[in-house]
Amino acid sequence: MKKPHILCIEDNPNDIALMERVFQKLISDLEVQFITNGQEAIEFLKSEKYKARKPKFILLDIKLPKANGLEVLKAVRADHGNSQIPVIMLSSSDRVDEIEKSYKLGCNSFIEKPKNFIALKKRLPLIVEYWYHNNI
Amino acid sequence: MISASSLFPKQVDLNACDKEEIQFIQNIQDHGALVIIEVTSNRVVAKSESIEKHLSLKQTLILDKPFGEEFADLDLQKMIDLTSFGKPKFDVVTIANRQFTAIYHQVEKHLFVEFELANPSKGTYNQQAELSEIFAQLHTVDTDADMCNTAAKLIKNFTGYDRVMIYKFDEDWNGTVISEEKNASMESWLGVKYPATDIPQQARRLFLKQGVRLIGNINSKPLNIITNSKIRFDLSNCEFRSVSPVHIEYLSNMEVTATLTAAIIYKEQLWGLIACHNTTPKVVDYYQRSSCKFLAQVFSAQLGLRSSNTVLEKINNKNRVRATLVEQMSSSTNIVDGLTLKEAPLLNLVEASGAAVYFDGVLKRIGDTPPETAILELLRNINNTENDLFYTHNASQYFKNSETYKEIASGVLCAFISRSKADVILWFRPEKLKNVIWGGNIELEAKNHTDERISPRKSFKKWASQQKGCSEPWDDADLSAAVELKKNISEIILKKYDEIKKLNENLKNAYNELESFSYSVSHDLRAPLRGIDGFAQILKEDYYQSLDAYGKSAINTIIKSTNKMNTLIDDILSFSGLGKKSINVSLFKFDRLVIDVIQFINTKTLYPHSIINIEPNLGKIKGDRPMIFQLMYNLITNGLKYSAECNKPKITIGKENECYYVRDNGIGFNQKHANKIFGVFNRLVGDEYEGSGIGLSISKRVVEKHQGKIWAISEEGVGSTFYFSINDLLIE
Repeated sequence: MKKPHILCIEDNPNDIALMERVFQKLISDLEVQFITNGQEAIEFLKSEKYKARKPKFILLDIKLPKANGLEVLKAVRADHGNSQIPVIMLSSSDRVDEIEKSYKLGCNSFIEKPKNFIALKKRLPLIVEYWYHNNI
Repeated sequence: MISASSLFPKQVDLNACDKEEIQFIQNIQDHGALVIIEVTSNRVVAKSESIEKHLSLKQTLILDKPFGEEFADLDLQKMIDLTSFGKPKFDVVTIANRQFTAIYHQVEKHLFVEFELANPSKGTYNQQAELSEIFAQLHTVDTDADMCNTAAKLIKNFTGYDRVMIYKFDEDWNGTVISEEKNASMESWLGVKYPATDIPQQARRLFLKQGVRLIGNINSKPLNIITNSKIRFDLSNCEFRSVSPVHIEYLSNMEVTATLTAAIIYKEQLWGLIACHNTTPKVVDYYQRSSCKFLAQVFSAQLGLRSSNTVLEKINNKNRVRATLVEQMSSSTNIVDGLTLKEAPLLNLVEASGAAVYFDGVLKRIGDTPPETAILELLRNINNTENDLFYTHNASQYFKNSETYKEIASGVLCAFISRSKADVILWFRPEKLKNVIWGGNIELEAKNHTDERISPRKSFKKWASQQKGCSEPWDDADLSAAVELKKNISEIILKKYDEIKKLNENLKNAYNELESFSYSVSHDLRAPLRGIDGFAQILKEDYYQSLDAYGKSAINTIIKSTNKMNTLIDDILSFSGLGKKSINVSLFKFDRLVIDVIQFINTKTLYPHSIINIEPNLGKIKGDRPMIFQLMYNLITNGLKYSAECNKPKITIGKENECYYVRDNGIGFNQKHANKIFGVFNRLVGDEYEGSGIGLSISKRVVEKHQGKIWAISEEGVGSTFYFSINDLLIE
C-alpha cells in the first residue's frame, strides 16, 4: 500500500527543496506531491488521477504563476467531492484582505511562511500532524 | 459699508430747527408780490398783502374771480402749460406802464405768479456778458482754491454784496468758509467753521430744490397771503418766500441785513454754498440771481470734472500698487507673506501708516500700529457689522479704548477677507490734529440750548478748538482699493486652494505607491532569504564536520546575516504598515502593558543583569493597545540594548507631567542628535549594536497616530530618557 500523501502547490524551487528536505527527514511516513503553477493545479484537481487517490490535505501558496492560490482554492471548493478536504494557505504575505478572502473562499487555515529554516523545521511537522490527524 | 456719521447719533441735539416747517410760512418778503391761481378754474385764490399798491393796480384784485383783466400781458393758459412739468418760468411784463419780471411755477394745481420790479439798466444782454465771463473764468483756473476765489470775486463784482463767501460742508454738515471776498473794513471769516445746526436740514433741502435764495431785508415787515381758502400753500418754490424768524434772528445776530445764497450741488448732494451778505437791505433782480445760479452750476460741473480727474489719477496709482500686491501674493507660498513682503505697497494702497493682517488666527503688523492686544480687541468690536468693509477716521467714537493709541490709529479701515470674518486686513492712520476756528463757541451754545423755544445762537465771536482723535478721512478711492484687494485675495486663495488640493492628492498617491512598493519589495525579499538561510542550514547540518574553521564561520555568518535581514524586513513592514493602519482606541492599564512587553522581550534570559523598574503611578491610558505595545517594546528594548554593557544597567518606566518615559543609564548620545534619531535608518551607533534603525521611527509613527509627541533627552555616558505624550482627548 502506498503511503498517505499530501498535495503542496508551491512555485518557489528553494521553498520546494527545503520543504522536501523537512518531509524526508522529519515526516518520512508521508508522501508529498508538488505542483508548481496554479493552472496545472486546477487541471490536476479535475483529473482522474487526483480522484483515484485524494491527498490528506492541500498546502497552497497564494502567489503562484498562471493562476493564483485564491483561484486554485476557488476551484477546489467548486468541486463537491472536495468540500471536506482541508486547504492550508501558506503565504509570505500577511495582508489582511488576502487572509479574509482566503477564509471566505473556504480555506481551513492561513499560515505565514516560516521566515527561516529553523522555524520551518519546527512548524511544518506541527502543521502536518495537526491536519493529518484531524482528518482521520 | 458703514460710515461714522450714520452709526452714532450726536450727543447734543441742536437740530430743533429741523422741525420748523419753513416752507409753510404763509407770507412773503416785501420786495415782491404774489398771486395764486387755481389751475382748474383760473380763479385767483390768494394774493399777497397790498399787491395793488406794489403793482400800481387801479382796482382791487378780487379773490375767487377769474384771473385776467388786470394782467393783459400775461397769457394764463401758456403759463399753465409751460409750468405743468414743475419747472419755474419767467416773463417780463408791463403793468401800469412799469416793467415787472413775472416768475411763475405750479404746485398741486395752483399757479404761483410772483412779480418783482425789473431793473431797466440790467437786461438780457448784460446777463449774456456775465454768463460768458463766468464760464471763461471758472474754466481756466488751476486749483480748487483758485476756482473758489474766482467764483467769490465774480459774484462780488456782479452783485456788489459786502461779503461773498464760498462755504463748504463736511460729512457732518459743518460748514467752513473756504473763500471770501469782502469789503476792506470787514473782519475776515475765512477758515471759520460753522456747526451743522446753523443751516438746518430743512434749509439744506430747500437749497437743493431751489438753487438760489434771496433775503432782501430782514427788518422789513413780511406781507401776508390773503385768501378765503383754508389751504396752507406750499411756498417752498417761491422766490420771495418769507424768512423764518429763527433765521432772521440768526442773521441779525451776525449783523447781516440782506443775503443771497446759491447752492453748489455735487453728486446730487449739497457740496457747499455761495453766501452773499449785506449789512444794509439789498435786492438783486432775477437776472442776477440767475447768473448766480448759473455760476454755481458751472462751479459744480468744474468740481466734478476736476475731482474725477484727480480720482482717476488716484485710482490708477492704487491699481498699480494693487497689481504689485497681487504679484507678491501669487508668487509667495502664503497670502500673508505676499501682502507683507514689502511694507510700502500695502500701506500705500490706502495711504495708511500702519497695517495689520489677521489670517488663520495669526496677526502680522507692519508700520505703525496699535499693540496686538488692542488690535484683537478692535476686531472683536468690529466683528458684529454685517458689511465687508468698516471704516472710520474717528476711532474713539466707536471704541472706548482707542484713546490710548489715537496718535497711531485714529483712522481705521478694515476689510474682511473671509465670509466668516476670521481673516481681516486692517489699515491705520495717525491722528491729525487740526485747529478749527468756529463761528461761535459750539460747546457753550449746546449748553445754553435748554429752553423749548427754537432760537439761533447769539455769539459769532471766533472760537478756536482743536479737533482731536481724527485722522485724514478715508476717501472713495481708498475704500474701493480695499474692496478690490479683498476680491483679489479671494481669487488668489481660491486658486491656491485648488493647487494645494491637487498637490495633496498627488502626494497622497505617491505616498500610497511608496508604501505598497516597500511592502511588496520587503515580501519579495523574504523568498530568496529563506533559500539562503535554508541551504546554509542544510550545509551546516550535513557538511559542517568536513569544513575547516573558516568554512564553519562562513556558514554561521551567512545564517546570522539572514537573521539580521529578516529583522530588517520585519521593521520595514511594520513601519510601512503603520502608515495605513487606523487606530482602534481602548482604555487599558499601562503597567499591565509594560509587564506584558517585558515578558515578551524575555528580559530575564536576554538581559539577566538589567534591573527593570516600573514606577507605580502609570495609571490607565487610552490608545491603540497593539500599537502602544509596539511603541513600548521598541523603547524598552532600546534602553536594554544600549545599557546592557554598562555597570548595573537599569531601565525605569514612569510618568511625569502627563508624559510617559523610558529611562536608561546606558551609553546615551549627544543631545544635538536628539531629533535625528527618530528618522528612518538613522542610527547613531555602529554595527556593534543590533538594530534596523527603524525602531524609533516606528515609535514616532505610533505616537503621531495618537496625535502626541515623542522626544529624547540624553547625555553621552550617562543615559537617555525617551518621553512621549499622547492626546487621549483628540483620539476619542
